[in-house]
Amino acid sequence: MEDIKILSELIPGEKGKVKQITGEGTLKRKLLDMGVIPGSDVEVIKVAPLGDPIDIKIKGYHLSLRKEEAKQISIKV
Amino acid sequence: MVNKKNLTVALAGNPNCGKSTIFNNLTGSRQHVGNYPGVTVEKKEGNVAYNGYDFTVVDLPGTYSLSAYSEDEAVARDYIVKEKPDVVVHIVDASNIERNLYLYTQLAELDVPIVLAMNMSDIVEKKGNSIDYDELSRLLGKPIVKTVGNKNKGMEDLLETVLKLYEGRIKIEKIKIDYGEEIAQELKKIAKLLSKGKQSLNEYPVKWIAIKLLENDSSAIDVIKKLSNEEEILDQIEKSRHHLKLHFEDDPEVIIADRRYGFISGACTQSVRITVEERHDRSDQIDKIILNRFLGLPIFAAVMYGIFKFTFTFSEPVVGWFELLFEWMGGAVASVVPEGLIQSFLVDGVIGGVGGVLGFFPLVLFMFFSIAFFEDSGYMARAAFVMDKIMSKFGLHGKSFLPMMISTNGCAVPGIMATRTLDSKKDRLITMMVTPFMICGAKLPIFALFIGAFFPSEQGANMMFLMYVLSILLAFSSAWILKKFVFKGETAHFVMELPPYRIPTLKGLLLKMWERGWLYVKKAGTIILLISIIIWAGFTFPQMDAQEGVSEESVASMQMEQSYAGRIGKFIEPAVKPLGLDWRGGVALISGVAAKEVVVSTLGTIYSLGEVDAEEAGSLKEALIKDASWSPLKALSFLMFCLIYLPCFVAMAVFYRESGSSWKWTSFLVFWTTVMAWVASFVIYQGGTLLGIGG
Repeated sequence: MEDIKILSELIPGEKGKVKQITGEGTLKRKLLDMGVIPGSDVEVIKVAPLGDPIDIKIKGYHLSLRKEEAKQISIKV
Repeated sequence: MVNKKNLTVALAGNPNCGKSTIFNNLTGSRQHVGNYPGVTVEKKEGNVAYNGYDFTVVDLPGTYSLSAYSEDEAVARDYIVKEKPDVVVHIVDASNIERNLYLYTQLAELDVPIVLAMNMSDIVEKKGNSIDYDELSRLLGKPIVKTVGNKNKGMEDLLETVLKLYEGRIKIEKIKIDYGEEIAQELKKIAKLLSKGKQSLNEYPVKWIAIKLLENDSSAIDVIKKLSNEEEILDQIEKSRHHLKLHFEDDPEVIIADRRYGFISGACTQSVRITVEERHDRSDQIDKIILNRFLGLPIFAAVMYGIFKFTFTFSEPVVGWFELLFEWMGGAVASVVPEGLIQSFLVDGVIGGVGGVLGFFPLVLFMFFSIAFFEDSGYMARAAFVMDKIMSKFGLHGKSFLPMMISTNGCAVPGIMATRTLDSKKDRLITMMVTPFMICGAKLPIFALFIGAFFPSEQGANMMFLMYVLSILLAFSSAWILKKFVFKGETAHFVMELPPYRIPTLKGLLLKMWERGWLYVKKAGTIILLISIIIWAGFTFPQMDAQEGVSEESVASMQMEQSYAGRIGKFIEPAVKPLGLDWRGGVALISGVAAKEVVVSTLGTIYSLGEVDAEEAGSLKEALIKDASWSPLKALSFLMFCLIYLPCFVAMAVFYRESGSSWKWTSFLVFWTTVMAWVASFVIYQGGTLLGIGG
């Protein structure tokens, strides 16, 4: 069974595949350039000590982004 | 003698791929730093002689892509297209190959000769993976060289390959990224319109512009703005994007990025063998501690304290040597040149000015060394990660913390320079703008003097604490206001790589320290020297005639009163009157622009006390207490003004340079701080008087 979640809702250790990136402009382009494209494997590794931002593993490296930004990314769990 | 043949090589690559290390290995100390015209991005260039050739190596800014959204990327792209380096070396972190090669797909489409340097190839092997470099080279159509930058391996091989390619002894193949039939069709339509009548595309290949247009890239749209059939092209882009959106149910830029990654993924599947999928490497282990929920913040605080300590405490002896040197120089000049205007000009104006520039130099060097250490080790990104939650609430970035901290009890000059760690222009400007609000070391003597004079000891500590709290509140609220009103609509995101931890090389650290430190002397130095001479003249002219029967101290006091600076003080008296101050406060504030601690010595001169040392101002304290024109409320108003008003001119000169020589932002800083200071002092003095407190 396939479940769609928002990246910002995932807890550390949860994995999935990028489904879609919503929104426009600089942020979306940056995410694409950094390898956040539909179909990529993602795993949430950590949440910062104060609860934001988060650290995800994608294309074999660590990427950090704010939860606000992670809201634009939907994930197939 | 045979003239050496010249050859230009540009180094391109992602941030953290080890590009700087390779640049340093190749060029050693034969490098210099400048600026790309019109932008603040640094241009690093160096030379190396090899096999009868003189290679000019250009270290392009580290970028993940070549889109138009960041200054760095635009600079890298423009350099490659317009300056046409003979060979582009793309340095790839082989241990993170897929994301690194994304840049390759775009470099390749610029149709330039490329050599791929697979850096950190030792890490790949250590992890138990292997790369078939011959196969990868065949798939990507470019020669590949294995390098290990931090062990200085593969450099000769790299130069040799570059030379071979340049001399045509090896061939490269054009690669074609398969964007699929749908996109290819649209690209063809756009390309056809672009090629109409052989129009100039600023030297960009037609296909490149066509792809960038489909991606909705703003700089590509700028390129076609001058074309005769601009309307027609824009129309076609609109149609094409619309058509593709319907077809793929997603934006064309997503599909294009997907196809690029697909191309890389295809090449890697055939050439990279991952034997063990390592779940947690060493970096992950370190992060378990460094980013731990409970340890993260204490470790951050300890690192920041360490940088601060290192910058200010460890540099103390060196700063002392510099002071001694300039004192000695002043003394030497004074003993040769007879007393009078020329001596005063040389000693106080020129040597004092040069001393003012170089006095900060050790601080700047020590700070950049410690920052470079934490940057190169990979910690800086973590520091931003830990602090971002708090900082972002005020429109700042996680990395804004460091400059503000360096300024607190330290100095805004290295503080403003430390904003170089911030990538987005907006984040940098806001941070630079609020950094001077922090209480720097030079403001402390003013506070100590006035708090000591007007607030009894038990209140004193509270007052001091209040000042610190106020400075922090001011900085954060200013940041918030700037974000809300001045930079509204501009977004800066936090999408940032957390690079693997690495052990920095001493050579790399020293080069980085020197290069940034030297930039300070070169760029801010001349302005600082010029202004210090102007300030000297303001307090020296017009000269007063010698008077008999008057003590030396009184002459100095009278000289100050009737100098240009004194006259300005009197001129602005109406403006400082509502703050409870008279012309003496005005002159002191004006002199504080030279350096904040000068406020104290200026008051000393006004009160005819001769030379007053900023740190030991006992007699001045007495004089202030006795002077009926001061009161605790007026003192507080004065302190408030000193806390907020414009930074010293050294900090302003650095701000001007670091803001990209922007008069707009520098005047804004002056205006913003002065207005805020005036309003705050006004509210305190008038409010206090109304309420009858301390009047």
